[in-house]
Amino acid sequence: MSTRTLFLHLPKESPMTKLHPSLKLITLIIINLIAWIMEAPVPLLILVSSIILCFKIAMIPVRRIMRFFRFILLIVQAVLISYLLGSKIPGESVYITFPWGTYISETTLLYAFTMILRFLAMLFASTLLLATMTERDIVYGLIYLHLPYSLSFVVSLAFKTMGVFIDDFIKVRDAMTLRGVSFDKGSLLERAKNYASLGVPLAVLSIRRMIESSYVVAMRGLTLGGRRTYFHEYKFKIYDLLLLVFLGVLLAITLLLKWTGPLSFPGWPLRR
Amino acid sequence: MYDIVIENLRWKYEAGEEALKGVSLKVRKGEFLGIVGPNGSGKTTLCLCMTGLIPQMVKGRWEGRVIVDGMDVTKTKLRDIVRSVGIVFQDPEVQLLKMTVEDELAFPLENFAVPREEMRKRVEWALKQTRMEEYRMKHPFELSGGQKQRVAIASVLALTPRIIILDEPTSDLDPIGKREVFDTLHRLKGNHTIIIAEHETEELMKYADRLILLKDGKIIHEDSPSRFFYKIDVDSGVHIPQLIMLSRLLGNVRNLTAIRELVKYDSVKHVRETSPKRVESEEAVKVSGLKFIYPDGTIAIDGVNLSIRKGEFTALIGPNGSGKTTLCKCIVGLLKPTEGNVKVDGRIGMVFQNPDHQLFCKTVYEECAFGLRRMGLAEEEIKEAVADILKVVGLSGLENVEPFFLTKDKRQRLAIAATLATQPEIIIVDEPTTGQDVRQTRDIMDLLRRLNEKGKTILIVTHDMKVVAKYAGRTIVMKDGRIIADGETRDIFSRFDVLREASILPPQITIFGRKIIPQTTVLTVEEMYELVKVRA
Repeated sequence: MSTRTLFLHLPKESPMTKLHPSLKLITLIIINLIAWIMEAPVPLLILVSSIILCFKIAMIPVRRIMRFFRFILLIVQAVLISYLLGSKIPGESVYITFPWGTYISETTLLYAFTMILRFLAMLFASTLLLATMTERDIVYGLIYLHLPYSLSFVVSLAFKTMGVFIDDFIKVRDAMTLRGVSFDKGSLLERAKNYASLGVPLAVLSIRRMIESSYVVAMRGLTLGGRRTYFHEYKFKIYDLLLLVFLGVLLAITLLLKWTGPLSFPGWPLRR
Repeated sequence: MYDIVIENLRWKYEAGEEALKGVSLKVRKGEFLGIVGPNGSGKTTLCLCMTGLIPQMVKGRWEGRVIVDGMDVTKTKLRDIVRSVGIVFQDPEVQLLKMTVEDELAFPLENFAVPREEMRKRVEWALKQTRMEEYRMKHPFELSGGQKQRVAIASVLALTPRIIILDEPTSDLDPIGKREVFDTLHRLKGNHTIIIAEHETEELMKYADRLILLKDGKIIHEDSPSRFFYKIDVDSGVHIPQLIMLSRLLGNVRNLTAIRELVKYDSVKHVRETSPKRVESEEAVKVSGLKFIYPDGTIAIDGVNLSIRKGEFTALIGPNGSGKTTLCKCIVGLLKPTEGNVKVDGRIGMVFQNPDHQLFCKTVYEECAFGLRRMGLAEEEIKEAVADILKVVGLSGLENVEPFFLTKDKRQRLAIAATLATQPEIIIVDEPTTGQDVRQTRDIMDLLRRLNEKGKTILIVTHDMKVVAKYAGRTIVMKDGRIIADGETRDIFSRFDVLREASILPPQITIFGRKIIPQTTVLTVEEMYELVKVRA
């Protein structure tokens, strides 16, 4: 037996299925916050390694989320290029100086590596949590965090609509390909133009679906701000509490170490 | 006494023509009312008026009165109307808002602040009514079309409304899905007032207490199903059930046993075949050992070998998920086979099920010219070619119209025109008649037949067995990614066991023909008529 999450099927035995929905959202926020605070490469490396280990513990079928890793790889490349070509981080030795004034030093390389680790920590943590969350987790997570139902409904509808939109996108692209439009060949401008022309049918389809969805929502009796009850009930268990305490302590230690120095980036005091 | 009373209702959309022109109608408590009529006749508009969505969520000009369960829909809050009226829409994808069946059913109850224990009971009850108990934890994407519509019905039922309105709920479904929906409605009959707008008249006839024919925004006929189809015009844009059509051709012989008597086994030698036969010619498409596995591991095509001859008119049939569309995508090159290969001799074009996925230019002219420009033709040649093709599909004069302002059947014809413009020798059409009324279906299929007669190879994917029987010389039956039968359509339709295995119901006239002349396979009403007319 498995649970269908937003992106994959997760084995029922996965510890992630047992967590309280609001704790999943809190974990997502805290891990991202910790990664954002940390600037030292070694602690970030430990954080990334720990998150990777969590994929194993959460029993996530990694093969099914490979497409996310491809996306992550693209971001890593972008971060690397931006620091290599567009930064002025002083170091002991400068390897290359570019005509536009930026240069690459050994500190640039270390800093770029650190920033990549930071992005990896954020992206891996987000992938880990989103891959293990159901639409119900998002709705109830936000409700237990005392956010308005309208927000959780819009978020859950957005996830549902995303699937339909992707399906439409593929069909429209296929139809255009069959009529001679190439999305992989030609100049960058030509390809951009071809992708832009996808927008017309996609917009029309989206508007039509939006109108129909609004009828459906109205006929299901949804009103914003009205009193409502909930079908499911979640209780905070002992392991939820333990994880919450652990995350709280971790965040506090991170803040303390950042403030005292050990989690700051070594060798570039000029930035602050 | 009456659940719905409509008095002289007129409705004009803000940016459009008058859709309803003085409709008056009374629906009794517990009645099963069928609304039939050609596309654009006002069926959907009437359904929306009965729910209050028109005029409360749609802008336009309203005249007349609609009273639903004692409430005036123009004066009562939509939320209060919803307690008495539920509606199921045509598109199963759009109306499922949550990610599990159970949550979908609970959603309207949560909105009305129903206590949790009561909610559980009602969800259970609605699941039972629609026989969806075992799917409660399923994601909508994991359900078939018929199951999705059952969930939509269950979701409406959970609020226990007196009235259930269904707007063409089976248009997008395969034969199993259609049957599932009608079986569910059959179970609900009597406990609820059911109003259904539908093209499937053969199914409607079995269940409805009364039928009304809507045309150009007016009710032009209403009667009990047993009389209704004998009285409406053959060209009313409504499909007349095949057995009634036969009966009408025979001078209104209403007793089917009388028709049986007209046919003596020994006098029947051959059916005068009106449907096309297979052709023997060179190969247009050759598929060898084709296997296609989707990235998630789903085996969509599992070892298909197939050869399609030039000039053939072939129908590809089978239940949803049997691999029909995937096979077509492999043939046109949109998908790369996991194993095996596809050889195509000649230019190939494909028309998609939903024309809105295919149209992206600013005008009808540009839509047809697009492919020709890609081929590098001169503007004069393009002008000529577009004029020709628009004439073929009956869209001449609409060159400067924006495609998305055309009606669905015209958009469908434009999608065909845009594909045909590039002169493909092989044309694949996915579900050409979905959501089309009888006249539009005939227009599109006649167009494909004319192209076939001009030498084009046609492959259609369809759930409409009447269309297959009438137009396709060859039929391929798929199930679970494999071809389970392939042959002349008459031969395939004689193999009821194979059709049953693929959950396909042959046309009504074929089933009837088998009962009265077991050794012969009749495909169309015309063939049956030829058999019995002399004695009649």
